[in-house]
Amino acid sequence: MPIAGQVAIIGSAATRFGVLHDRGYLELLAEAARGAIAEAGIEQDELEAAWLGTAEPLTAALLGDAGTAVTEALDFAPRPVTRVSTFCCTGMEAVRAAAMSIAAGEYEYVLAVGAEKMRDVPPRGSLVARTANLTHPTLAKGRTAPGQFALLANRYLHEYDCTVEDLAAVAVKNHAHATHNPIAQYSEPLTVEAVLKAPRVAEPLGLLDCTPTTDGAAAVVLTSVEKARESRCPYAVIEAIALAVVDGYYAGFFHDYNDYLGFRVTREAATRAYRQAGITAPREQLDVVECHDCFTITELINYEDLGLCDRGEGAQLLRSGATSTGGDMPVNLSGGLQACGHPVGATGVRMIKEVADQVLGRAGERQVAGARRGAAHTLGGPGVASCVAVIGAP
Amino acid sequence: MSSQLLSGAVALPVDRVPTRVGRRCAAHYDQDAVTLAAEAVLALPHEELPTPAALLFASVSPPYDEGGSAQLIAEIAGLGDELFCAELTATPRDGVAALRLADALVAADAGPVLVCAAHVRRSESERDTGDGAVALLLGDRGGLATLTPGPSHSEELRDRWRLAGERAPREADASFTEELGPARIARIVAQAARERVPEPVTAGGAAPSPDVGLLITGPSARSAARVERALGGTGDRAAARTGVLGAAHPLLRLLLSLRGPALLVAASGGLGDACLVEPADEAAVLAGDVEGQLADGREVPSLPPPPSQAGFEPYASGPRAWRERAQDLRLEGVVRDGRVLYPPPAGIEGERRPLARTGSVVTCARDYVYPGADSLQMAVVALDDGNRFYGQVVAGEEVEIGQQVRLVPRRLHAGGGLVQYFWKVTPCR
Repeated sequence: MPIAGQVAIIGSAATRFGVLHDRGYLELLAEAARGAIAEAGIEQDELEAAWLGTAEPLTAALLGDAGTAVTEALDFAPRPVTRVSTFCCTGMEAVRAAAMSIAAGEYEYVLAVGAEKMRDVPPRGSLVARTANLTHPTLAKGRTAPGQFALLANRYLHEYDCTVEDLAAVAVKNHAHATHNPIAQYSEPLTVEAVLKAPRVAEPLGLLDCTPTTDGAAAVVLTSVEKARESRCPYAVIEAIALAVVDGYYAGFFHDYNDYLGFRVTREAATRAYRQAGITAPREQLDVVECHDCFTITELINYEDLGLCDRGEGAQLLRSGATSTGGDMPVNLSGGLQACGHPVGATGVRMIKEVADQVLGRAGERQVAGARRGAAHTLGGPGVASCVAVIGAP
Repeated sequence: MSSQLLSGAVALPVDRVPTRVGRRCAAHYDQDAVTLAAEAVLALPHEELPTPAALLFASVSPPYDEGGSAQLIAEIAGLGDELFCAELTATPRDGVAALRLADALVAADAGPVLVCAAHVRRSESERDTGDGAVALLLGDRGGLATLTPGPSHSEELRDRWRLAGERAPREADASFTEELGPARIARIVAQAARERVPEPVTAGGAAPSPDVGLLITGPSARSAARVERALGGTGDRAAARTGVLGAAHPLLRLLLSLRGPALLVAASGGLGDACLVEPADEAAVLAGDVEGQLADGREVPSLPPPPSQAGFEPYASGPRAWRERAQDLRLEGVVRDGRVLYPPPAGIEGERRPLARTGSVVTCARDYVYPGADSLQMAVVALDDGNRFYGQVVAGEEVEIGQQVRLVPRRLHAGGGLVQYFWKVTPCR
């Protein structure tokens, strides 16, 4: 059977996100997983398999390089555990893979957990230097993640009605949202002035335009909708989950489909997910969205690629207040990657948890009244992979 | 024996910094003798020229002391894999020595020979030197000038040298060098030329005839100029505009002299060589072009020091570098449906063709966190053939959206001890 509408999220949990010097990779993984299992109201022994999302095991002494990390952290032997890695889509891809196993009828209860320990090394050592050092010796050499998204920012500012103040306003909005999120790495409000005065990272992006590097983990327990209904526990439904991959890591930089004003891969993933969920007008049919705001520019572009507004109108949508708390299309009420931080493997799982909490009415101070359906979106690598999930109330 | 100069080109860095006597061409950290020589070779009008059968590279500042640099130039320039490659790396006079060897190869029917020479200064102790490269193509007929090498001189004498593993050259006592060094060798060679070079060139003692210019180069611009003037020459005006370009300097002077016959003499250490240059009338155009390039450039007070490489330890692999050399060094992709697919997709065979080397900037961004540079501008370029390029902007330049740019070979890094070359973006000028 298809995933869409047939797989339920019966438990979810996330650790605090941040610079967590007091906890190691396995502890984070275990905390999130046990929290999700507890919320699901099942015993750990009832889980039959697990999927682990970890993108950068090299930042944590190779822990998370294979599914064996789950086995060790949860005493999970001899059950199968598979590690997946799809750049920043890693966590959501772990959920997708786990959901497929339920849809296929192979298992009744499975775990999807994303974990990343990025801050056992300094921020630059965790991703920037690693990318600069370990990537291809010639192709795209010089690329960093902020540098790559700055290419889009400059093109976007050049082409559309958008200013650096608009970019800064994304960070301000999401940090304001995060003041209501107890797990966020940063929960202090920001001002546009502070964002613009922050040290420059890759023009026009400053430090506060960028997601921080973060430790954290998040997990969900999945079962079939049929089983969830029988159990009478609260559950959310995966109405759709679609991964699109459009190119290789290095080759993508040299191909001309990228207009540097948006991401084809997000549009592909959204098209597939919306088709699965029967969504034809996302602005009207979604109550809440968590999207991949790794950099401020990315959120504006995501609005467009996810169909929340027309191309080139992302800044206007932001200015309208629609995507803020109380707006008709609230985006990243969790604080997003901007304020929650971005433990890569955990992020997609956290997003799905956030949307599930919203449609189940348990998002606390972030709750959108009457939310019944929301979308979560991740974007990976140099814009070559994207995963979009639609989560609904039963 | 004599050979024909078929064409010539120079590659001079854009930036010019002041020196005691004028200015010198100054290369940024992403340029070296290979990139400069390759740029000079690429600047030759290849479509109009026969394919070279040999490449001789002369430089005292090659990136590799052992293992060879000439083959890199050949790869970047796409000269084919049947090329005879050799290099001369002993003294700045090797540019003229390469002419002599090229002449012998041409005379032996080996085919056209590409001579290129380049220099980048390695330390501040090189007061007179500048950075740049020259490429000359020699053949057996139809040239812009007739080149007649000889005579030569050899004796054990050290005025400037480096021990194995040393970067900065050592120098002998100045009075010794002045009295007995290259200036004396140059006089000896010029004297010998008097006996070799046919009339009317040799009329008038040690100096050639007044109708034949005298071009003397050596490690010290000042002493070379003094000897040249003493022997009736006009002095080295190029050195004050470019600096002494090491082994490339005599070849630069050769190109500048193509308005009339000249005796080119290069001396360094105890070694000296000469070459008589007899240009055809049409060669003056090339001389004028080169003269124009000397006048170009951007005056800057100094260049920034190379960026720290702390924390920058890029992955490198010799097998990969070999396997992907056409992709890296020539930007070659595979042709499919009339388009060049780059990088070449795995498993797709077919005609290989390089990407266009010019285009316009789609977008760009300056990055302050890349560990291999203090800051680095990256650019996406819509190439004129419809393809895309993404890469670094050359050190010392800035581009903007919509600007016309070209791709040039540059050093990326030396990860794993392998100098990695690739293409970078620079504004069209």
